[in-house]
Amino acid sequence: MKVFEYYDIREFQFRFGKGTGLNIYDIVRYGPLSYGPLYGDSHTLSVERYKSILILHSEDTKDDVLRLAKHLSKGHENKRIFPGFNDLFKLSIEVSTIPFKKYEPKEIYDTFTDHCRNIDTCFPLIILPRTPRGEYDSVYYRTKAVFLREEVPPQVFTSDLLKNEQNYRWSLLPTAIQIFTKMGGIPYTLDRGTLGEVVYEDVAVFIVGLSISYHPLYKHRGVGFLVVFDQAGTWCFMDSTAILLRSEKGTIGKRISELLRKAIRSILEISKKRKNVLIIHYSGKEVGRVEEEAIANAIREAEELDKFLAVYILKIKESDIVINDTQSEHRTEGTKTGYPPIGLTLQLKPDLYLMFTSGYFTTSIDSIRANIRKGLSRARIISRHREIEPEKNELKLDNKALLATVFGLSRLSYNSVQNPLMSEPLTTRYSREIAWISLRLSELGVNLDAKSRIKKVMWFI
Amino acid sequence: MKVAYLGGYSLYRYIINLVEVSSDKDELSIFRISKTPMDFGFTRIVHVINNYSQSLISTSLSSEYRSLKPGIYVSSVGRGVDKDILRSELLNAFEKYFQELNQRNSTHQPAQSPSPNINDIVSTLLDSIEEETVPSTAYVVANLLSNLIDKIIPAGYKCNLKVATRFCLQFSKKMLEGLVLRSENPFEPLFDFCQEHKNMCGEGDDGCAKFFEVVKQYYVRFQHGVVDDKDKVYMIFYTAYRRLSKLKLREIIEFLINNNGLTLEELNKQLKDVRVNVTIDRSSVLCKITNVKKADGSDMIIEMLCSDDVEKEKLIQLKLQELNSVRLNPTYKRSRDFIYHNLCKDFDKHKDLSQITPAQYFQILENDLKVFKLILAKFAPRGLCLGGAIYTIKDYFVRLGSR
Repeated sequence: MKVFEYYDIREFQFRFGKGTGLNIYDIVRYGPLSYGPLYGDSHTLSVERYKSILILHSEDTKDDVLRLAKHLSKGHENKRIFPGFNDLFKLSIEVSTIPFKKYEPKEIYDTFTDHCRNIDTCFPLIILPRTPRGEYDSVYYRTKAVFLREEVPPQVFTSDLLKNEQNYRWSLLPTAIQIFTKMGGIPYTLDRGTLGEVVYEDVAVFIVGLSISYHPLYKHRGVGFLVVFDQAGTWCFMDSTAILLRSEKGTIGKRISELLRKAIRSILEISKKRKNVLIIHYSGKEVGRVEEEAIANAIREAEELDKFLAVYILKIKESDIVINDTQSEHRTEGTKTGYPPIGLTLQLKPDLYLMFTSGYFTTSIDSIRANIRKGLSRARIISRHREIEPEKNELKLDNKALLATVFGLSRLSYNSVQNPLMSEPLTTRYSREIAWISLRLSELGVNLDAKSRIKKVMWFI
Repeated sequence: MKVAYLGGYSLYRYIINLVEVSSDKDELSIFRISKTPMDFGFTRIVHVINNYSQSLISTSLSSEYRSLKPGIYVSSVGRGVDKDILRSELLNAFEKYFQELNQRNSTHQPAQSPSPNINDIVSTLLDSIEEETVPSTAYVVANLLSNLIDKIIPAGYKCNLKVATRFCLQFSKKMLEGLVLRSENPFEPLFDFCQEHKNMCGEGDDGCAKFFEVVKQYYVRFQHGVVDDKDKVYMIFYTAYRRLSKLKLREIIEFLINNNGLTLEELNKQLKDVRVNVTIDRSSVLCKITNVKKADGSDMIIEMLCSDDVEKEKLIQLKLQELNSVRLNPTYKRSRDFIYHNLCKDFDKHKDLSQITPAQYFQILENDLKVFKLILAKFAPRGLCLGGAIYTIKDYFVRLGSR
């Protein structure tokens, strides 16, 4: 066992519209990167088609909601905290508030359509009570599913947050970033490919996050899904497939294989380069041998297309390995906490690594901060699965470069402006949100597979 | 261990919760089964050997890894065994397994399928068996050690869950004191916690004591590693505090009536919308309590709205005496509010024990490692012995230099 690498956030800066920076907050200075998707159909999914943000709320939150509407529209009293949606993104979107009678998803959706002539131009911001994320049948998931059924991605803001002054004001900027992203925009990406230097001319690198999740209540139902980014973390598309485990043996593998094949075809459609490299991040304890064979089958087909220079497979999962850094530079009340530097990566054996994504980091003004306050810093286990990679990878990337894709995509976040590194990469982070909403949609009789438009925006963040 | 510095470089900067496991032998003699009978996958054979044989331990390997070939690797607890002992152990194990299976099936399915021929199964397994020599720290040894610990520790000390190769031991304050002297376990925070919150540690007769108990859990997993192309086995070791819940709805209602003196009307108000899990035909269904009322006679009736497998909601009614298979589901906010207001205000107090930094945690963990080894020695006085090789868990955690 040995220290393998220290990935440093300073080497993974963000690219905005008019500049680059170390912090997401720099978007206030440099503006967003793009008003529409950078891959595929950018015209119909442009943020500029939106005319209004409708804040849907219950009557009892009226006063707080009026304040939120004012802040979103004109900015916070302290403009450095939040300059306002239109000022931030250089748009002229109207913000209005609309009350609904009760926390009933259908009623909330009907209220929305009653006040919007063209649902493609109104963005719903829904005020809901805070519910545990682990509650499958909460009003949060049910409401989101009802909107997504109509291909309308909503943003939820909790009524609890409206009342918590300190957290409220710092949530204005991330909320605006999430709304902008769900409208179809790309607020920022990484300023570099996660692989570092450009390896070859005319080669595009795509990173696919693949997961399988089961229904929290009915274990024989599940969903397989994937999200696709390029190597700078630019969003491409997502797709999913329903799985019934009681059905014929081998069906799960077949479904996953089909899902991946379809994604490979879509990647080739959007890729502007002659040759491509595919890096698959797969996660979830549900991914077993059958699914790995399915991945291998899909990859064999991709290999035959002669459009891929290389395919790499990384499995990412949580671990029970914790660390104490006896020389940690982080202290609370003068006492060493033992948190390690974020990005510390250990090698347990060839192709098996431990990456610590929570710990301390050095800010741009050289002060030491941590992205964890209490509890332990747990490692993510990352294993490279050469046995399912094609035998002849024409482009040889080493494990340092491959692991950088995990670190790089952990840098990208749309929910938190403060945290420089999330606990897991974008490719695997939203597994539950995607799975549960997909399952809810299938319970509403909607097959996400048939919804082409919504799959092109990051509705799940 | 002292920390050594070489300029800006530290030899022992990082402490990881891994402990190296070494063997007194370089190599281990082991049996490998490469073919299994029809309808018997590797997993099932391993399950039978580990759970029904007296002194055999096994694990499977699905594909080639380093010098190891795929197959089921079988070793023995304690001394090595020959093929004759292996045959007789396998015969006994399969006999016990099928007996238990038939008994279980007969209570659910009156028509029984014909018993398989155990001799044929064992012969097929032994036809492909080969005796091999592997490094004593080879990849399969990690899983064999995990299964060995699972076999030698009595059931009463194990947690309810066993996830893959992770093994878990669980102790209440009382059990811990019974196994290890307080003087041998000086830094255990559970003792102070239990002094302050006696009712969360099984003492007293309030709702906390009746429905909850905070325990210490020791998690163990063996992990294979490679250093300079040499196989290594590590034990990943960590400890945590958990709150065990015994939330049978029948007992909760009886408690609310007898101890809290709730009337039917109050009971109905308190339990409305509380989520429960109802076990029907061995599968669990999530329900929401909608009403508690008296039936025509004197029986109390609990009405619940349940989502069945095809997601159609249906109303079910159960009498109080039929509630043994109904448990309150504490993941839901409404259920947690109910617990807080009616059963136990301190039910989340155990979380305080986890709000510590890595530096504090590792101080406790070093103590826990010593205690764990003492506990292990009670159940395996001659050490962890696999196929004649004795395995020793080191006394300290792995330390790594900063580069």
